[in-house]
This record gives sequence, C-alpha cells and structure tokens, in this order.
Amino acid sequence: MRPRSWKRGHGFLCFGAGVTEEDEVEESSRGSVGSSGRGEEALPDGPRPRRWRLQSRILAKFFRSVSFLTCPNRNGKETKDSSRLSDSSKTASESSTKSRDGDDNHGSAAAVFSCASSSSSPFFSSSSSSSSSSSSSASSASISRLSSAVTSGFPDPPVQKEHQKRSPPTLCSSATRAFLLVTGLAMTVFCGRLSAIMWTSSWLCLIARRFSKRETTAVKEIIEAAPAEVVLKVAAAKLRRERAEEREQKKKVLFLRPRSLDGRAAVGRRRDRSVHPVHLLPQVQPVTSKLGMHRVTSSNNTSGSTRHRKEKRLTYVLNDVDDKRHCAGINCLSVLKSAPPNGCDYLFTGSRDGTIKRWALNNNEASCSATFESHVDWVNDAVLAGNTLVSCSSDTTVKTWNSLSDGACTRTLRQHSDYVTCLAAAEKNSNIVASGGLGGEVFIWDVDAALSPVAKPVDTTEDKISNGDDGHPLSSLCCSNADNNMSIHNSQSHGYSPIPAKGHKESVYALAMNDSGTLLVSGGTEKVVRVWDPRTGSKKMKLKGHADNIRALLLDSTGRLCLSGSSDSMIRLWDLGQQRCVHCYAVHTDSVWALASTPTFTHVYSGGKDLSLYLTDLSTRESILLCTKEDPILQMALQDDSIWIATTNSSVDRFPAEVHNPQKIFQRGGSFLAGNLSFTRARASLEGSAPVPVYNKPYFTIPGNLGIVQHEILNNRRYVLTKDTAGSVKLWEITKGVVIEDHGKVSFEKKKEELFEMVSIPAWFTADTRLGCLSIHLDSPQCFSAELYAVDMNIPGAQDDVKINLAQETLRGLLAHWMTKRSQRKGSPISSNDDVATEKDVSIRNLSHSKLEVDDGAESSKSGMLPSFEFSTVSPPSIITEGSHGGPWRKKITDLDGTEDEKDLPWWCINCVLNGQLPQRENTKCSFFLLPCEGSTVPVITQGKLSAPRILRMNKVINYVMEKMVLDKPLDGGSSDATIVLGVSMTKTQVPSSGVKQSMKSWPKLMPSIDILCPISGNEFGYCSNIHMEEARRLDPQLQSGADSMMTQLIMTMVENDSYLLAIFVSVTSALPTATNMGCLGMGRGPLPLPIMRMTASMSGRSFARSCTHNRAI
Amino acid sequence: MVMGATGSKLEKALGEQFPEGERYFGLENFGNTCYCNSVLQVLYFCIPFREQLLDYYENNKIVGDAEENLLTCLTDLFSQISSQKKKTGVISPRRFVQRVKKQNELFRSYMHQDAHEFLNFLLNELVDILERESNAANASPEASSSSSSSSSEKVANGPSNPTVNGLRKDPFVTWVHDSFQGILTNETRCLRCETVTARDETFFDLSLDIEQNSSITSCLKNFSSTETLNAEDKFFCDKCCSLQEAQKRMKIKKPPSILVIHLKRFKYIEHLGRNKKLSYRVVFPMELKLMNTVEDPDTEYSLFAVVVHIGTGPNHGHYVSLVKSHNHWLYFDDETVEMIDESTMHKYFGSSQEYSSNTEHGYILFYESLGKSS
Repeated sequence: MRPRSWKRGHGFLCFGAGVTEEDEVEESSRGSVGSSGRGEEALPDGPRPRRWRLQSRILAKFFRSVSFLTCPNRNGKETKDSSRLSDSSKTASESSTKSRDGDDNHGSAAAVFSCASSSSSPFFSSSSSSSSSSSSSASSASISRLSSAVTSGFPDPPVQKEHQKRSPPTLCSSATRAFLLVTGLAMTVFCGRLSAIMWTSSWLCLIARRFSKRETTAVKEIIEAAPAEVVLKVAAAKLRRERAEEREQKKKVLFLRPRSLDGRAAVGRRRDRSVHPVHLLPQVQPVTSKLGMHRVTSSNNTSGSTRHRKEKRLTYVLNDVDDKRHCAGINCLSVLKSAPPNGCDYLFTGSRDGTIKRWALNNNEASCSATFESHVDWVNDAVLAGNTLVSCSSDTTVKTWNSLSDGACTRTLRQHSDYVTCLAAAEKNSNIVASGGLGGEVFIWDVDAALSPVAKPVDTTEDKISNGDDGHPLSSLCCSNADNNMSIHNSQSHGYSPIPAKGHKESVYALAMNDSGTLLVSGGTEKVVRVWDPRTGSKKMKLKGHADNIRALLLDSTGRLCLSGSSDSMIRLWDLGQQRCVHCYAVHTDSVWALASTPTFTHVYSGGKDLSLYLTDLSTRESILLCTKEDPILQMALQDDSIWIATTNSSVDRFPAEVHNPQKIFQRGGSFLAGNLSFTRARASLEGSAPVPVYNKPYFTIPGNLGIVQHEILNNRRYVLTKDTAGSVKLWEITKGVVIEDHGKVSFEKKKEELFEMVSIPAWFTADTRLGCLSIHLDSPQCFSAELYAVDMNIPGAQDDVKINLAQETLRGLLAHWMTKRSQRKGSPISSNDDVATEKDVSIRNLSHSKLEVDDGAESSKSGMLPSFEFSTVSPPSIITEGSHGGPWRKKITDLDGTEDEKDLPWWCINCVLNGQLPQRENTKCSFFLLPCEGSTVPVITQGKLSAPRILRMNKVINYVMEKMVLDKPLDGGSSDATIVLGVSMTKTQVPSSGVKQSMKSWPKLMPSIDILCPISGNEFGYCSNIHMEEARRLDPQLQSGADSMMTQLIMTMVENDSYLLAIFVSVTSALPTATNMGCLGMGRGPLPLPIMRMTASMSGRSFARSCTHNRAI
Repeated sequence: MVMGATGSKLEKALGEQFPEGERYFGLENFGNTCYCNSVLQVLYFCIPFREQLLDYYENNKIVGDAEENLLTCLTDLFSQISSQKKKTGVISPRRFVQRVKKQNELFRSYMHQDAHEFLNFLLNELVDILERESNAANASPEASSSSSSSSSEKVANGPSNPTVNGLRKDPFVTWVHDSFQGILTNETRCLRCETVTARDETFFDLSLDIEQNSSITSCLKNFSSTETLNAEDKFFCDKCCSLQEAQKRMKIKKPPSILVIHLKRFKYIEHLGRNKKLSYRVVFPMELKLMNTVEDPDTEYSLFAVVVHIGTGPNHGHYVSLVKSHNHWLYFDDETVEMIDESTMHKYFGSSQEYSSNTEHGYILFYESLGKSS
C-alpha cells in the first residue's frame, strides 16, 4: 500500500522530466520509488537488501553530488572528466566502474529519464552504441542517456575557456544552489524523505553530467579552437600511458630475450615429442613449431623445460685415465704432409669428445703429439689451410689453431648461430675456408683477415697486461688468454666478417671446394647441390637429383666434376659445366656419409651407414667392397697409398687403398657393376649376393678409448653409474672424478637397482654424456643446495657439526690448481694495484682457510681440501664454462694458469671458491609438529610448531624428545617457531656400517627408547630405514652406556618447493631397553610393534592432512 | 510420429528396389540432438558394426536385471529399428539420448554439440563397456569365458586383476576395435645418425587439417608430411646422446576397416578470440586409396556415409547425415529420410568463396574398406 505522498512524489518527477508517457514513467518510477520507499520499514522478504542498498547508494550519491556542487575544486571529478576527454567509450566504462555502487541509482534515474530523451533519439542511439562495448553497459548507457537528455533539455552553455577545468562553471551559481536546497527541503517535508532524496540526487546528477557534458563539448571546442596546449595535455597523458605500456612490453621482451647475445651455442631443449592420441581429441596434429630460419643467438630460456638459467654454467668433464686417446666417435680426419726430408706426416682427428688430436705418423706407429682442446661440443669438421688448422663444432664456433703447436687455440670465430657441420678448404689456396652449418648458413672466410690481430687494444686487454699477464705482447696469438679475451672482438670490433653465401633454406651438411678456391659446392637437407663462387658468395647453380639429405661432397681439382653422396644411398657424379648429373651409382645399401677420391678423380672411395667401404671406378661403374667395419663410417682421408677411416668408434683404422693405382684392387676380382637405381643395389644385397670385402682387417689402428653411452645419477648424488660402448658398467664418484668400481659387463638396469639407496639429496648437478665422457653441469644457485655432514662422508677428524656444501667443495677441488697458480702470481713482486673486484680475498699464504657460511649459524671450520674432493692430476677433468666476456671455453684444470677471472669464469664460481660466499638462499626452515600417535600413551611434548633448518639430524630430535619427556622439562607453552634445541640436524641414512655418530649427553638409566622413522619423499611415505638397536650398539660402544635409544639417521633435506612433506616418527617405548626393530616402512617388513609418537612436518600447511592419512597407512 | 507422407514418398521412390529387411527410419530430435541422430544413422547403416552389435547382444545377454548402459541402449535402439513392421517412419531414441546425457555431462545441456565428439565418446564408451563385461565374465567362474584354458588362470588371479590371458595391460580388443581402430606410427629420424625411432599409436579416426580447394588425398598427404625439428627444437637422439636435427612424420601403419576422417572445419581466430567455421571446399572422393601407409598402399576404401554440418558458425548449426545403403544414397535429417542422387554429393564439399549461401559442409567422412586391391 503506497501512501499518497508517493504518488505526489512522482507527479513531481513527471513534471520535472517533461515526460510524455505518463504510464511508463509511473510504472518505472513506481517501481523504483516504491522499492526505495518501503525501505524504511523492516521487510521480511528478499528484496529488502536490494532496497537498502539502493537507499544507501542514493544517499551516497546525493551527498557526493552536493559536495560536488558546493566545492569548486572538482579534483575527483576532474580526473574522471579528463579521462573522458581522451576516450569516450573508455570513460564510460571507467566512470561506470568507478561509480558501480551508483548503478542502481543510475538505473532508476535512467528509467525515469529514458523517455525524456526520445526527442533526441539519434544522439541517444549513437551515444549508447559508443558505450555499448563496456561491460556495465547499462549504467554507462544510462549515463550517456542522461547526458543526452540533458543536452536535449538544456541549451548549450557558452563556450568556456581553458581554465574551466579548474573552476566549476559559473552557471552553478549560488542562486541555483539555493534553489536546489530549497526544493530539496520542500520535497523532504511534503513528499517523503526518500523520494526527495532521490529526486534531488537525480537533479544533481543531471547537473553534474550536464556540466561535464558541457565540459566535454566545451573542451572539444577549445581543442578545435586553441589546440596546442590542451591537446598537449591530453596527448601527454596518452603518451605517458603508451610509454608505460611500451615499457611493460619491453620488460617482458627483455625478460624473454636471453642474456648473452654472444653467439653462444644454440642448445635446444629436450622435447618429448609425444603425439597427442588421435582418438581422443578433435585436434590431432602435434603442434608444429616451425621456426624455420629463425636465428638462434643463444639459449632461449622461455621455451625450455629446463630451469631458467640466469647464471653462466660451469661444467666439468671427467676425462678418462688415458687422455691420449679419443673417447668418442671421430667425425673428421685430415692429413698433413710435411716436407719429405725428415718430417713425418700428421693425422688430425676431430672427435665427438670435443677435442682434436694430432698424431705423428712414423712408419706404422702413431703417437699423439698434441691435443687441441677448446671446443665445448662435438668437433664436426677440421681442415688444414696451410699451416693453420681450422675446426668447426656443434658449439657454433669455428676455431683456428696453429697445426704444429701444442694445442692452443689461436682464434675463435663466432659467426654461426647454430651447429657448424662442415668445412671446406682449397688445396692450392690456403687463404680461403668455407664453413656451413644448420640453418642454411654458409660463410666464406679469408683466413689471413680472420686471424689478423685486433687493431686497437680494448680496456680488458690492457688490464690484463697491467695485472702481470706474463708480459705477453698483444699481438701474440698463441696465448690462450689472448684468445679468450679477443674472441669477443671477432665479430664486433675486429672488423672482419666473412662473406655469407645466402641461398640455402635448410641446413647444410656438406661442403667442398676446388683446389684453387674458385668454386664452392654445398649440400644439405634440401636435397639440392648448390654451387657458389666463394670469392663473392654469389649463387651459380642448383643441381637437383638426390632424394634425400646430401651428406658428402667432392670436387675435382679443376672444379668441373662434382661427386655427391646422399642419404638416399646414391653417389652422383655431376658435370658442372653441363650443369647436370652424368652418372648415378647405386653402390651402397644405406646412406652414404663419406667420400674420398683419387687424385685423378677416376675412382672414388665411399663409406656410410651400411658400415662398408667401397671403391668405385667412375667410368666403368665397377665397384668393389674394400672392407666392412663395425660402425658407420663418418669420414675418410687418403694418405699415400692407404686410407684412414673414421667411424663412430673412437679408434681410427688405416687400410691399404692403392690410391695411385686402384686398378690393382679390381684385379682381385669380386667387384660388381653399380646400377643406377637405388633399389638394384638393395635388391642385390637382399638376394644374397653380398660382396666379400677385400680386406678383413686394417693395417694399422690408432686405438681409442671406450665412450660412455648411458648414465644414471644415483640417489646419493655423488655416484654416477655409467655404461660404455663395450658394455662395461662402472661407478664413478663425481666429487673425485674417478671410477670407484668397475662392475664389468653386467646389466645396467640390474646394477642400478642393486645400488639403489633410500636417501634423498637435492639434485645439485646434472650430467650428460654428449662428449663420450661424463660432463657434470653446475648451475647456480641450485648447485649449492646439497649439504652433508662431514662426519657422514668419512672425513677423518671432522667435527661433528661441520656441514659441507658439496658444490662448494667440488669447485674448490676443481679450481685448486687455479688458486695455486693465482697465489703464485700474486706473490710475485710485480706491482699490481689490483682494481679487480675479486681481489678481496684470502691472503696468499692462507689458501686453505675459508669460511663456510652455514645456514644455522656460524659454524666455520678450517678444513682444507677435503680428500673427497681432490681431483686427479694424472687425468684431470676439463672445465667448460663461460665468463662475462667471450664465449664458452674448455681447458683442463691443470692448464689453468691463474689469470682467469670473472671474464672467464662465472662470478659465482669465483665468489664461492675465493671468498667462500654462496649465493643467498632462502633460509628454508621446515616447521613441523610433534604429536603423539593414535593409540599411544605418550604425553604431548610440545604444543606449537617446531622448526628445523635444511638438514636435520635425527639424534637431535631424539635428544629433544628425551629431554622433554624424561627429564620432564616443563613446556613453556612452546613458541611457535621454537627451534629444536642443540641446532637439530638430520643426516642421511647410511648402511649401518658407516657408523652411528651421536653426540648425546649421558642419560640416566631406564629411559625410553626412541625410534625415529622418517619418510623422505613427499608423496610416498615410509621411505626410511633405521638401525637395529643391537647393531647400533655394536657400532658405537658409547651406546652401551645406557643410552638405550636407537638412532636412526635419515636425511631430510628440505626442498625449496612447497610440496615437500616430511613426517617423522618417533617411537617411544616403555623404559625397557629392548631392541626395537621397526623395520623399513617402505619395505613393509612388518607392523610397528610399539606405539609411536608421531611428529609430522610440512612445508606448507596443506600437506599436514596428507601426513595424517599416510600415517594411518602404517 | 508417423510421417506418412514422407515415408510413402521414400517407399514410392524406391519402389521394388526397397531392400529386403532394411528399415529407413528417421530419428526424433529432442531439441539439439541432431548431432546424436546423424551419428546414429551412420552407425546403423554401417553394416558390420550393426551386425556385430546385435550379435554381441544376442550372445552375451546377461541374465537378470543387467545395468542399463550405453551398449544396451544402443542395441535396443538398433533392434527396435530393425524389427519395425513398417519400412519407413520415425523413431524416438528417447532412452538412448537419456542414457547419453546421464553418462556424459558434456551432452547434458541443451547447447549444440559436436558430432565428432559424440562419436568419439560413443565408441570409447562402448569399448569400456565391452571391456568391463568381458572382465566380469572372465572373473566369474560360472560365466562362459572366451577360452577354457585361460579361465582357470583368471579365476586364480582373482576378480580384481584385469588380466587377459595372463598379459597385463594388454588393450582389450573388441569388435569395435576391429572395425574402427587403426594404428599410426610416429617416426622420428635423427639427421645425424639417421636412426629412426618409431612409436605406435592407435586411433579411431583421423582429424585432418584442411585447406581451401583441397582434396582428401592432399589433406592426408599433409597429415603425413615431414616436420623438421631444428633450431630451438632439436631432438634428443639417444644414439648420439645429444641434441640433433630430426625429421618427424606420422604414417598409418595399420589402416582400419572403417576409416573415419574428421575434417577440422574450425579455426581459432586470434583477434576475435573464438573459433570460426571453415567452409573450405574439400573434395572427398567416393573411392579412396590410402597413400600414406607404412607399407605399400593397397587398401581401397569406399565412401559410405557423411555427417554434414549445416551452419555458418562453429557453435550453432544442424547435423544431417548422408548414408549409402544398398547402393543408393539417403539423406537423413532427423525425422526426414529422403533419397538423393550421388551426383549431388558435390554440394557437400564446401564452398570456395568466403560467404556463400550453401552452408552444408561434409564434416565427418566414413569409408569402408574394400579389401586389398592387387
């Protein structure tokens, strides 16, 4: 029942709005008014809250409007209005969002005034459409409608000047205000409060909007009239916003862009390219990430599944005992013939182990006279350009060496962005070398120009010299330091860039050049042989014919004929003058990977994936099988009358080849005619007419070492199990870098299971066997996450509480030689005002001192080089790393000469080794609860949470429990973060033979025996093992002194992520010192015989629940 | 329910050629169940499937109050159709649709659904049910199991052990698999050592990407095209123990006897933030030869059904199906069943122009194997 006053109320409304359709207004207004009107009395049903809300909003709006009017400085509105200037639709939504609480109000007001704007419908529709995009379109529409109503209802005010923003329009004079107030009061008295309020506020809204609308139009006019200043202000705001957005974008891009743009190795990520099961999803095609020719400058951290590597990585390669041999497949061979009189020939072998070795060939002996170690990935090809050895690698670099030196790299050329797969040199022109790689990049190098010394010395080199750099002159290029420093300048300030040969759309796998260096041919996955002029890099022709990847190319001395070997198993002879393929030889049954021709280019030796080496007469098509190897043939080189063969095996064989008179071989018979269609040869082999090799064994072999093909990091994170090419399984201790156990030819999987230990140590390193030997990678700061107690590592004389950070000690061991050399340098009397930042460390003599900053306090120890971490000096490991300048480099640790600093080594490495500073890690404390288990009569020990540091020793927990229980220490309510007394720390479980160390106080007799069982990994509960009490007693005689407690040493290292759950079981028996063998929970050897007290810990609270359910499972 | 006029029209059209024992019934649409109806029609006229379904049901009727499941509902529906007295008419698949809605909440709403999703769901459900039933049958000793020798093993293993013939985790092969399942092989070839790692996958249908003015053969070729893993995406070759470039492709190892080809007629438009229906013209042949098989292509297929989507957008539309039965093509549009001429099939290829009036596009194609050709 509405009182009559309401009716009068909307009579006023109707009047005020100039409404044409009364009914509608009545309806709508009644709806709105009525709803708000009833708000006075308490209503039992649903709509009440809405009405209350409405009411309050109306009131708020009213007061806001009033304040708006009375206060001339409309700061709040100002911004709203100014924003409206810039973007109409945006402001509509902005203002609507800001005034969201006024929604209902607007809605109701809109309902009232919607009809009013019928006269100005075009405007209405346009304004409403402009604001239709905003989400709260109703209110914004209402605003626009209101404004439109206003404009239709009122004449436009005179144009305001610029300063109208600052001061309100003069129309809102005191007279108007007075009028409004009066009418408001009248309404209050006669028509009821709420309707009055509503009406007033609506009016005020109107006025506000009208002002602002006028303002808008006014400002628009101003802008048109005097654009400069106003526009600038608006534009400035816009610009600011845009710039902010840009900055955001840039930030994102910068974050995405990798740090070092120095042409580092483009290592991709291991992608598990599993196909989405077709029958489940509508979309079946696997995501094709066609990056095509995308130039990869360095590792892109966003796409990878590996961790985001911000810091440079340090890798150390555990070389084999005999490092005079290669330990991985040989990718390339090159023969250097010396001057006849006394010189011997040399064979250069580039291997997948990243090194090149030079072998002195004396009669039938070969000895390794030098190792060229600098590449950090496979050496893919090596050629001789005069006296310079040029090599290319999968680390994207091309390196030059003095072929007769002792192995120092003279120059590193970083031009390629992806693996460099092949090189070509001209026999008669030693100044030109071409390199080709993945991504279709081909470059032609002027060797002299590339090797010429840097014109101007840069600061770093100056520093180097001033620091007493052995006084090497700048121009000396034999010094590896120079190389490391100068390498950065190659592509930048060096000034020399090679000639690119642009044209390949896909990767290049083979190159060849003619003798004079006037013709270059290249081939790759495009299946096309491309011919270039290396002097200019221009394309000359394309030869099509092969059906698969072209893996080997040869040019004759003049450059008229070209031989190509492809993965389609065919060898094709091309005539470049005629620009066509003249012959096609179906000799092999599988891919052809290597070609070598006689000097007269009449016969060709070919080898490939089918493990066979054939000699083919190009004119008669006669072909004979020379030998069959056990591994695919990767490369061949002719020397005198024999041929050297490189395979995926690390040894190199030499076979007689009758290079100067190949006919002799054919006279032996057993040759066949090579057809010219691939399936003829394949068919021939299938039909059983396989040719018999001429030679069954080589004249001579340069042996190689066995390479590692499989590896597995064991749980204790110090041992790695490996399997090599011969099938032997060996166990390495990577903190020493040696093999500690050779198991022989056993099953790798079985051995892995045998050696399984129930321990958990954070993964502080990663390993791979890319180079045929174990490479251990250390990435900061993850590498510093593993700590162990010195006592657990059987270090004699170590104190009980000393903790060792594994990575730190490993680094110190690796860089020991470097430190020694360094100190020697420092000790020399050369004046050195050392500005270098890292020079703030230990004095020269006290190398062995280093502060170990441990998590829970200052427990420093004066341990020198711990025996676990001494690396062998006989076969020292090599370090592969990268500093702030230059790219990655590789050296044996014994070859470091002490001059390497943060430009060469990662700063975190230097910091750790010299200063003992580890990267700041979150002080992860694990908080846990100590609760009695169900069914146990044990009293509650502590109420609150206890916390423990990263690794926690169980005996401390036991001590704590004992103290609390036996010695009846009263609880002081337990502060929630009470650290367990005595700096609790837990160590890893070890086989009982390792000894049980304890530092227990003497306990009175008849104590409870406490068993601690501790699960380790988060999801799986119950991985623990404990030591039988008897055994414990046996091992440590001190135990017999009545401390009848069982010690279980378990490792519980707390992991940074929050899903790690720990639960510790404390078993408390009665006072009898019985042996309590809980068994190994994980193994399920039997139920727990005694009631246990449960102590659960969780990194995050939510895992607490999980612990309960797990516990029950026991 | 009786669309007398239409029914007789069809009968008249066919005249004496009306095949014996065959029933052409339309299915009632309950609002949005055209996706269901079109797929059901196709499956019904997939003779091997229908026969095997009815046979299975005959042989494996579980006594007593068996739980109603999708299989039983489907069988009921099919048997209902085939046992009709009239030759044409309309049937209301109420129970089946109810069952579907109960089983999968995706289909519970009144929104428009995707026929391909429904087909997948249906086939997978049938497979699950058959597996369960066979396990149940094998577990209980008195039930007739497939082979007497293995039954004792199974009893010993206990009912909770889902082993079949002592093999763990062996996918249970049902007659649904026999009909629809094929094997794809995913081959990756390292470009350095050229070892090929192959991995097999099973499939019930092939979803092909389509292009304007293409054909099924070219789409299939695309499907098996070589993808190069290079640059950032190198392949970790286990033989080389390092990252190398590789080439990857998918080939059909074992073609199914009923090849279902699903055309991906939708594309996500970035700037609109939603899917768009692709009305590309994709020509599908009546006879198809698979060329992207691992072995030599000698399986020939013949088109026997098409599920057509009518509509301009991916979220709305109507499904009808075209089914070949006894050498004449029928057009099933929910309740309506009409005969159409094979020459009009080209209407359903799609349109070359962006906006054309013809919005009927072939969406799912069903090919049946004709056996190996010479």
